[in-house]
Amino acid sequence: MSDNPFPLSRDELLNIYQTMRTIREFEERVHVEFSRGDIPGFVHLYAGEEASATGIMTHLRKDDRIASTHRGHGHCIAKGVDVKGMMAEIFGKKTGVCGGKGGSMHIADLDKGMMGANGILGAGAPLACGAALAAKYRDKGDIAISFVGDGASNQGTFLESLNLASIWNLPVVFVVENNGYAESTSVDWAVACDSYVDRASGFGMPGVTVDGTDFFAVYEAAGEIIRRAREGGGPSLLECKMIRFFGHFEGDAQTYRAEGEVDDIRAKRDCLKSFSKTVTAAGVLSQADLEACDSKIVSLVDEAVSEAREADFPIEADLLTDVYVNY
Amino acid sequence: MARTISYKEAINEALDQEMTRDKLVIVMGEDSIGGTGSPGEDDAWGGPMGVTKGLYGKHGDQIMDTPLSESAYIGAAIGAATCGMRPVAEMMFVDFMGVCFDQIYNQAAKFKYMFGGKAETPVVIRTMVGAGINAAAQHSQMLTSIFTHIPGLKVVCPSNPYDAKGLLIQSIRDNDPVIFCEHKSLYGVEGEVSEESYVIPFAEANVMRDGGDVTIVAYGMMVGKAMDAAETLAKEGVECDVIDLRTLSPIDMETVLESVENTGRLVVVDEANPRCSIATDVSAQVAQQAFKSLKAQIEMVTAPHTPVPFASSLEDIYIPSNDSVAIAVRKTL
Amino acid sequence: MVDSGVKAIVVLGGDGTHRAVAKVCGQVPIAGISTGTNNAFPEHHEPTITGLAVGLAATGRIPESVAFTLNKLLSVKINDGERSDIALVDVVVSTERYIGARALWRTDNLREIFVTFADPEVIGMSAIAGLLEPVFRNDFGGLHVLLDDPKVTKNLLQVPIAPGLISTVGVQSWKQLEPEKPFTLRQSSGTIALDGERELEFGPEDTVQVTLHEKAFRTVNVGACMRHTGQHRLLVGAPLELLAT
Repeated sequence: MSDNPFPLSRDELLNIYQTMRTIREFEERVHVEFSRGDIPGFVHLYAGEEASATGIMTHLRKDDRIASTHRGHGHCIAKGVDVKGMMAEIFGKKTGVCGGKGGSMHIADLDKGMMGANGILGAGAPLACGAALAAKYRDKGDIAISFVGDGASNQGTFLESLNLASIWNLPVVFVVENNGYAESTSVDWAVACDSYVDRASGFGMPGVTVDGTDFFAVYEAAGEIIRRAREGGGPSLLECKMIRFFGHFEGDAQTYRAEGEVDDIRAKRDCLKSFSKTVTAAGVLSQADLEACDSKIVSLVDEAVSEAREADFPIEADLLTDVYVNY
Repeated sequence: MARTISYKEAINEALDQEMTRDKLVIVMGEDSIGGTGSPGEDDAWGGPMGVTKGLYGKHGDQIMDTPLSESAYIGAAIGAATCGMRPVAEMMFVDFMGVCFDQIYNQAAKFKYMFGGKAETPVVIRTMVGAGINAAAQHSQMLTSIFTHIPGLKVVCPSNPYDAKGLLIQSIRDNDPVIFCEHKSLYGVEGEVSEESYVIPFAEANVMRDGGDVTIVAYGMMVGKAMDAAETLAKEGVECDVIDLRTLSPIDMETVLESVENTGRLVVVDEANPRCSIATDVSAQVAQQAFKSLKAQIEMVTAPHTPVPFASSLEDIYIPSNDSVAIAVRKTL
Repeated sequence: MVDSGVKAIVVLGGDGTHRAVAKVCGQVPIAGISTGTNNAFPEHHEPTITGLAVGLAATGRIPESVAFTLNKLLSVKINDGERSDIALVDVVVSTERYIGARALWRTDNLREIFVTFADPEVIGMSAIAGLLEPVFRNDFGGLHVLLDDPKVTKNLLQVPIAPGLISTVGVQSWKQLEPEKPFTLRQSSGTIALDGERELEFGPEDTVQVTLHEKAFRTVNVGACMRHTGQHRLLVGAPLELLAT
């Protein structure tokens, strides 16, 4: 057995691979199912970005909360939301994690600390500040994470939240998942500052930029800033520079991307491939370990799809439930 | 034991008693304490109208000043509510809803539904509504119908000190998002209020006056106008039922319908602008559900379809008066 | 670039950017403007002055012997050049086995430091050397420091490693680093940080050599340029006149 140069045990590394691989399989499969026309509404896929969600979520505890973006499947899976429940929700079935009433853009599981994917970009930032405020009152070292994309990083809600978090010294971490495109618009055009680190310091908090396709880089940087937040050191901003394999939404022809760009990044900047290569080269996990994992995940996602297809839609009576606790 | 205090003091008392009862009730708003970070007095303001004065001295950390950042701090109050806190956040003037409305109507209002029942958002957003102090167009609106329109929100609008305290305590204990509308012109109005804690349930309109000839439905500052008009009309031999809705969502239509089925005549008084208002809502519901009982057309007394003017001469006309209510009643006879 | 007549390169960035430029364009003199935090290499001047100095130097108004300074650099070669890289300020060897988020802030796992200059006024890894035996940019040679785990050694040093951060390091010994003499690392495995960023991983099967090189690349000597400019009144005259000369 080779010695392990990583700050994570062999089992932890296998779990991490499993999480990232589950996200990848889930998203690739949703892409296929969506193209068949069986998934209603809008879907935004996280494939290619797995290292960010996983690198961060590996540090989180049950009572830590996350507020996600419209591209929330990856955050959900990394936070431990049930895969089958998620698939059913995306298909709009009663067995979904939201009873079929939220859909992909509002997928959530508060029991798991996942405060929801959000159809309103930037809306999660104040909510995460609220979760951090509640954590501060609880005083158990819990934290909250606010995920935004490069697009939403320009929303007033996000900027206001940076300020609020700083002045109230909230245990919240703002993660900017910069995949270079806000829908079709480039970050180079839309974001005024050269580096999110500057934007962070403009709001009185430290900022770090990492390669979001490198699990270990995300893991290490996130670990440090999360530890700081838990210890009362206040908010920080983490920029994960990454790429998305699919379009902004399913159905996006991505004509705003350069020719061959997606094929190129799938070949050269696939975070799963680089993670696998790193851990197998170090001899900590073997190709066989990873492949065993792969086949279990493919079966799981496959089952999730068939069960989702079989499940019932919500019924008319469900339309009127859960508007209020009581009215 | 009951004694006479003002609408503003009644609200302060409700907050104070609830904050004492439950440490999870946290209060926040711009200048709610007043003076944070400034060199002078702590608790310098206690809110722009002094409504929250004294709470900092008694409850310390449970009340906090916020920066000028509605979408951030209203959103934070909402987020904290989903995590088990019971925040009471102040959106200073209802007219400011534009800068934070998403957090209220797309987030707080919809969590329970979108998340299949799992979320609970027990947040109260206290806000000043109404005209009458020359605060002009951007600080004098009612906007109550906009919140009422949104499924998932509750809307409360007390007309007197007793109701203000009981309804606010109920709002804080309620597990849904509540928009608690405080009429800025009523802050100084005095009334009998019990010292102990008490609640007034939602969807229980208050029949302020029994008459039998005409039903007048009102809420907020208009309740006083309706009562004055009813007194004038009584001298003419017309006896009015006056119903104070108290809560707009949920709304007690049963009481309204019962009264109209008896009187056959309805006047709705609403300080808000006339299109798509509480007045049109109540009128339509009555027309649909009690049509056969109606002996005359329904009359609505509202502000005109204009922004709130600044000059007193204009604001006085803008706000429905006792006289305009009485005139409307006479039209139904 | 030299062929096309580029006379100077102004670099805006941190240590990493300066290193990248020096690695590839080392023949053209560099003027550094430090952006970001925690940079050891670029000297701190008001960027307006740097721009003026570079302009005057590049247009030949200042003699090359005044305008440009020769600088030292460190080269790192793994397995005789199978992998190689350079550093402008420091090469730090740590027991940390993976590159991760790159930044160095934990001092307990540092084992060797090689510096081109050791200025006690600067923060970062070179401060470790600077607080033991200052060696300036224009001094001959560099410094080589051997470190230990601060928990086991008695010789401790307090070092300003990063903004607001003073850390403890354990010092074993130090000596002057002579140029052109390759040093083979004693450590069998770990990571090598170049100018404060972990860049290279190495294991027991790798041989790593670190060498100091003198007069390896030029920088614009902003201070000397401006003193010369003042003494020789180079900026006296209307703007168009200056262009004409």
